[in-house]
Amino acid sequence: MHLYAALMTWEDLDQTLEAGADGVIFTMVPYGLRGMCRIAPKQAREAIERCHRQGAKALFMMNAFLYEEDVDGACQQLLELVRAGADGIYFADEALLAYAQAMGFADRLIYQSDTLVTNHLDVDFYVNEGCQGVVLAKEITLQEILAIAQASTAAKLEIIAHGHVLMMHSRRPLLSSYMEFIGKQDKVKVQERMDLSLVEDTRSEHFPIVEDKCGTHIYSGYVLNSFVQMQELMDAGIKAMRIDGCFHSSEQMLLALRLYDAIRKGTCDGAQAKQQFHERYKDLPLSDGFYYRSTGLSK
Amino acid sequence: MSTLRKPELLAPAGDLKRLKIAVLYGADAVYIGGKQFSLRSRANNFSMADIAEGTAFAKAHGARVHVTVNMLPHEGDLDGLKEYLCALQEAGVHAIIVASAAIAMYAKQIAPHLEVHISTQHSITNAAAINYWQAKGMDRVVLAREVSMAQLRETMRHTTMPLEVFIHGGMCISYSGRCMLSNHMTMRDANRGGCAQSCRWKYRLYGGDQPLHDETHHFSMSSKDLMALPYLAELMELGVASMKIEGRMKSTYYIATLVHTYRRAIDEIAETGRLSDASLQACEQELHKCESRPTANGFYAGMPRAKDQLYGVNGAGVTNEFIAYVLDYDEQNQLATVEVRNKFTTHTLAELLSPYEDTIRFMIEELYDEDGLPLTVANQPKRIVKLRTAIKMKPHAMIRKVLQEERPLVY
Repeated sequence: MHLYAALMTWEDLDQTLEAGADGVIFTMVPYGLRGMCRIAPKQAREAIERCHRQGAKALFMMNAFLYEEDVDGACQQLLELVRAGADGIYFADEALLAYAQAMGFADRLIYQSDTLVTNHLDVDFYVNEGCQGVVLAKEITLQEILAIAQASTAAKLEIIAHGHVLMMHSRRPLLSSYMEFIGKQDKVKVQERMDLSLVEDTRSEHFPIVEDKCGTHIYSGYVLNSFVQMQELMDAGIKAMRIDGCFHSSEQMLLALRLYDAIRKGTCDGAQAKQQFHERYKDLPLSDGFYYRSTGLSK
Repeated sequence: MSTLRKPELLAPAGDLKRLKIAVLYGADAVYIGGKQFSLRSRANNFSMADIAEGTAFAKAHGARVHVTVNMLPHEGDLDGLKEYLCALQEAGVHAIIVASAAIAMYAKQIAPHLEVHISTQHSITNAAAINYWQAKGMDRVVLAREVSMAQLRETMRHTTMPLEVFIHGGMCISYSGRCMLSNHMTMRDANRGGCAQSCRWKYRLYGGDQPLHDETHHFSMSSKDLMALPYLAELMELGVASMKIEGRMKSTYYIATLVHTYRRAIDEIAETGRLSDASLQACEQELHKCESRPTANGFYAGMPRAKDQLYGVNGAGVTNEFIAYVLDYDEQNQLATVEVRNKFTTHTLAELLSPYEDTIRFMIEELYDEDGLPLTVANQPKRIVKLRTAIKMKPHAMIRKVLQEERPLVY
């Protein structure tokens, strides 16, 4: 089982690698969405070299929806990453897949649609298109994940295992529009802030919300964790688990990574790891997410 | 005479009755959901027998039926898929709308006479992605709604794939298929038909612990409905294949009103090359005669802003109310037989909405029960009554009561 860490800050790279990450995920400006560590193309080579020096994979997020005016630039960025030695590039738009297929490097691509891959047939589709991997939706149960792993090629599967998970992505600048409506657009800055949250009127959970150039992104109030589930996922042959420290501190992220690594090495069991993490960060609302809860088809 | 080709007018239908109304009022195609593999699980949805009957009816009127197979299935949801797709093909369905890549490919393999349209849930926004699906053998792409007119124009220069675009109806605030608010907040799966529309709820906004929201108008993500009338001519110039009205859960009257209005608009543009200002205004007023949210132009005009959102408002108010459904007309006695839908009385100012015809205003003066006894009020839904009128009303026409001339501006 590989541990992939979505890098928190550029300065954390060495510590992230030392903490047990087999792969580090960098978010590429301007075609990558939502990562904490957003890097410019000129930093990509250094990122690749430093990861490879430590025997780790350099993975890049290029998961934006591409508009007509974006496609050429995104394809060029993809080509440069591949030429620089990137081990994997996450994509959501089939324009990149088509380009990669035409250029002969579809095997560098990892399909990440956030919500669309919920069964083994859809996994197989993208694997058969040449992708090296597919990221499963988060809103499926552990049993469904294991069933997919059994029916499909487990070694191609990546799951999002830790962090505040994405719930919604809108193209619209929802926070700016709201500030405009209530007449506070000049008084309250909302773009690119990481400290904003929504609370539904009849609930108490705080959902982190971020507005940037790509729109508005809303995350779960809870922090998904997979300490207890990791052994089962490893036994099923799943290729990789992603630890995403969005809204975490670097310290929180690194501790989570070390604990997952310890479980992997057998020096700690899942329950102990979870307990340790919880004791250190009592205020973090840890959750099993959808591992044991199945959504309904209808009301 | 203009040279603009008429695109397909594609209307929603939640059941067989609404399918027939959509076809009668001028839809070129109707999209429906079956009882399996479809979103909008709260729509009545169609049994296979209803699908067959609806398809036969549509074909007899020169129209087509598309069936949504747009659920994103989990393991275990795939049972019966093969039989279902084969049955749809057997029933004469023209096309299926699919969100899962695997189901799209599978359908092509086992039901080759079905067209496969890639759903808006794939959020396809450029020609390269469209062409990818064309190369996979798909027949149409339903474009993401988050595309401006300028972007669409550029996209269409680089693809020959038939494109379907939305022109009216509810808008998902998220990229379609990518919203899990309902899943997380209510355990109802938005991608399997259970969306709770959590985006339309009210939220308090905080920066750290500091409230940033307005106490009178909490934050909401609710969008105004799309209304693309001002953009129809341009869409037709670009050559979009299909113009889609959203609303499988909408009423019979709503569907009739919208299809009638957009039919008129499309026909005028095809004939003259444009929708005149007077016609645009008349069409907009027609749309105000049925229940809906306030409307805006979506992404066609560029990035939506505050004026395109709804804060604290749901309905827009209507200028007319649907009161009766015409069943028959006795020309000799000038009596229309109608089925009551909402209460009305004699001396009511009303309008008649008929397929392919201009609306007609008239006064309801004389009203009778089925035995010919005079009435002053019809206040039992589904009751059959007769009203005296010189207007030769056709079956399936609808009568509405005029409440007010202009819809009040709510926001």
